[in-house]
Amino acid sequence: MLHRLHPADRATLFILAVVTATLAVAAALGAPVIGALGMHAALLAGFAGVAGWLGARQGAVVRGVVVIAVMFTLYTTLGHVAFTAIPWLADPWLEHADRALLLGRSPVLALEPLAASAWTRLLCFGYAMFIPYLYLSIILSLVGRPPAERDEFVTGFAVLYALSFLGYLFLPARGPIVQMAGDFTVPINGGAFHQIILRSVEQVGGPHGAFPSLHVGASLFATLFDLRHRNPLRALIYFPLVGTIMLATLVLRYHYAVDLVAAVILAFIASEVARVAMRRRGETAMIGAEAAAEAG
Amino acid sequence: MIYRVMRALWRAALFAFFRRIQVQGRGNVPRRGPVLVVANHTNAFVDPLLVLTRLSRPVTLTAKSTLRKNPMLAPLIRALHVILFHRSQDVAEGADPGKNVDALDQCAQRLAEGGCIVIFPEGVSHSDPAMRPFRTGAARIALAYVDAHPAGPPLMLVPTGLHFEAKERFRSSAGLVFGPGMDVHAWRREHPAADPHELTALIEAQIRGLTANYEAEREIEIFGRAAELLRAGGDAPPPLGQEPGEDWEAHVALIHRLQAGRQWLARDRRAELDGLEERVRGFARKLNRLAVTPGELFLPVEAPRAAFFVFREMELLIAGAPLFAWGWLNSLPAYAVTKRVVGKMSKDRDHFASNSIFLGIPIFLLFWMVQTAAVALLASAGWAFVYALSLPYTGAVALLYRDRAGSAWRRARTFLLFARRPSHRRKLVDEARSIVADLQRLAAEWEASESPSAGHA
Repeated sequence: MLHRLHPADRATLFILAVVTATLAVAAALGAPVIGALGMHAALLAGFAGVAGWLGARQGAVVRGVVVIAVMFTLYTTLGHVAFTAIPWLADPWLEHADRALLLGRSPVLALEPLAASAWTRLLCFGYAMFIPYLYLSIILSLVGRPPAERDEFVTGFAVLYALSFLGYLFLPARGPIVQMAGDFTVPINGGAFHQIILRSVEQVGGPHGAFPSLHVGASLFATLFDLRHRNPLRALIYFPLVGTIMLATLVLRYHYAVDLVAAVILAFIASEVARVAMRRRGETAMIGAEAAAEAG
Repeated sequence: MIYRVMRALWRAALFAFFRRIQVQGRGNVPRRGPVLVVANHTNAFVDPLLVLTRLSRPVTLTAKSTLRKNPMLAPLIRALHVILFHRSQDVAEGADPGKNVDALDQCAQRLAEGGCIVIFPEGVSHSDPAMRPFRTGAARIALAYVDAHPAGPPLMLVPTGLHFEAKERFRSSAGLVFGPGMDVHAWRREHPAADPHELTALIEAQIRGLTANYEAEREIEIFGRAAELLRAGGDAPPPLGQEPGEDWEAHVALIHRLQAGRQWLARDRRAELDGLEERVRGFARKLNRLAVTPGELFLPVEAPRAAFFVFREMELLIAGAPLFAWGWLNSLPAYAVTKRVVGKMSKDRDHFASNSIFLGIPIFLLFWMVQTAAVALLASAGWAFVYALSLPYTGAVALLYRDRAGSAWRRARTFLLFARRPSHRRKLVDEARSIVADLQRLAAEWEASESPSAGHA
C-alpha cells in the first residue's frame, strides 16, 4: 500500500503520523495537548484520504496545493504544541553547539555590532522578502511546469519540511532572541521592515521553531530547484537573497548558526531525495508501460 | 595547476560566448586509459577548447607549429605541453615537417602514459560547407602506438562531431557529439596489413556520420529550414527557460535523411524536387520577414497562457534588473573594447569566436583589476573585495538576463503579431503543415522504393 503512494504523500503522512503519535504519548503522560492531538489526528486522516484518492497520479497540481497547505498548517501549529508536549527545551544545547562552532564564541553575539548599523535595514528587507520569494517559487513550480518537475518540487518541499519538523518537534527552541535576551546590549536598527517582521512573528505567537531554519532551508531549496531545472538565471538572481536571509536570521537573533548549517544540509538532502525519487518513479513507470505493452 | 586555471578560464569564456553548449555521448570517452579524440575542425581555437572543457579528464592538445610564434600563445603552449605538428603548407613560415617524427613520438608517449589527445585530421580550420579531406596524422599516431604497445592498454579512438548554430554569432549555440569509441587494438588485430589510409577513411566516415556536410553553402539554409519545420511538427514551443538542449545527433540524422531523400528525388523527379525546394525557400523568406521561427508558428494565442507568461517573465525581469544593471555597467568597458579589437582582428568567420575568447579573457581581467583597484582607492580593501566578487557573478547574470529578455521580447512580439492577424497565422500554419505533409509523403515513398521488396513489386 505505502509503496504505491506518491513520495510527497509519504513524506507528509510520515510527519503527520510522527506528530500525532508524539502528541498521543504526551497526552497519555498528562500533557495538555488533547485539542492539538485531535486536530493533528484529523489532519492525518484527512490527508490520508486525499493521498488515497490521488493515488500515484503524476503531476497533480492539487497534490502540490494540499501538501504545501498541510506543511504550512503544521508550521503554525507545531512550534507551539511542541513546547507543551515535549518536556525539554533545546535552546541551551543549540547555544552550546553554536559556541562550539566558533571556538567558544557565539556567532549571534559576534554579529551583534551589525545590528546597530544601517545595513540591518537591508537585511530586514531581505528577510521580509522570504515570503514573496517562497510563494512565487511555489506558484512557478506548480503552474506551467512539466508534471515530472512539478512532482519533484512538491516531493522535495515535503521532504524538507517533514525533516525540519522533526527538529521543531523534538528540539523545541525559541532562538537566541529569547534564550540569550540578557546578553544583547545593542538594539536592532531595522527600520520599517523590521517592524513588519516583528508583527508577523507576533501574529504566529512569537519566536518558535528555531532548529532548523526553514527560512534558509526553503529559500535554498527553491534556488537549487531552479538551478537544476534549466533556470540558472532565476537561481542566480535569488542567490543573494538566500545569503541575505542567512545573515539576517543571525543578526535579527531568530536562529543559531547551527540552525543554518542544518537547514543547508537538509535543503541539499531534500533536493537530492526528490531527484532520486522521481527518477525511480520514472523508471518504474517505464518498466510498467513496457510490461503492459508486452502483455497487451 | 596551470592546466586547471586555464581550463576554468576557458570554461568561463565559452560560457560567456555561447548561449548553450550541449554535449552528447560523453560516456563514450573512457575516464582512464589512452584515448584519441578525433574531431572535425570548423571553429579554430574554439574546437579544442570545447573538448578540453567538456571532459573531466586532462586533455593534451595538438596544434600547428607556427602558433609558437604568437607571443600570447607561446607561453601557454609550453605550460600546457601542447604537441606541435609541422604542416607542409607552413614551411614558408618556418615549419619543418621533418620534426613531425618528434611530435609523433610525443603523442605515443602521452598515450603510453594513459593520456587523452585531441586531434583534428583536416589539418586546418575552415568555414566550408563540408569537411575537408582527412590527413593521415591521427591514424598514424593510433597505429604507431598500437604497433609499439600490442599488449598495452587498449587505445580508444573517439570520433567527435563539433557543431555550431552560427559560429560567428555571440550567444549562439554549440554542441559536441562524442561517437562510440573504437578499440584500435582490436581493429589492428582484424586488419593486420592495413595502412594509415584505411584507418583514416574509417575515421572520416565515422565523423561524417556525426556531422552535417553539404555540397554547397546554399544547401545549408534549405535543409536547415526543412529540418526546423519537421522538428516543430505542429507542437507549441516549450515555455522559455524550459527548452530542452539541442539534440545535435538527431539534427544530423535528420539532415542526412533529407540529403538522401533529395538525392533519390533528384534522380527521376527533378521538377517535383525543384517545386518543393522553392516552396521551402519561399516559406522561409516569409518567416524571415516576420522574424518568426517555424516553431513559433504554433505558439498558442490564448489569453490565460499569455497572462501567465507575462507574470513569469516580469517576475524574473523585475527581480533581476538591479543585478543585470550592475553586471552590464561594470562589464561594459571591457565588452566594448573586446568587441572593437575582435572586430578589427577577425578577417574570417572562422576567427571571431576564437579571438573573442582568447582576447576577451585578458581584456576582461585587466579591466576588472583596474576597476577593483579604483574601488580600493576610493572606498576600502574590503569593499574592493566584495566588488571583485560581484564582477563575474553579475556579469553572468547580465548575459543570461540579456538572453532571457531577448527571448521574452521575441515571443511577446510574435504573440501580438499573431493575435492581431489570426488569419495570416492560419495561412502560414496551413502552409507549414502542407510542406511537412509533402515531406513525410515523399519520405514514405522513398522508404518504400528503397525497401528490399520494392524491386519485386
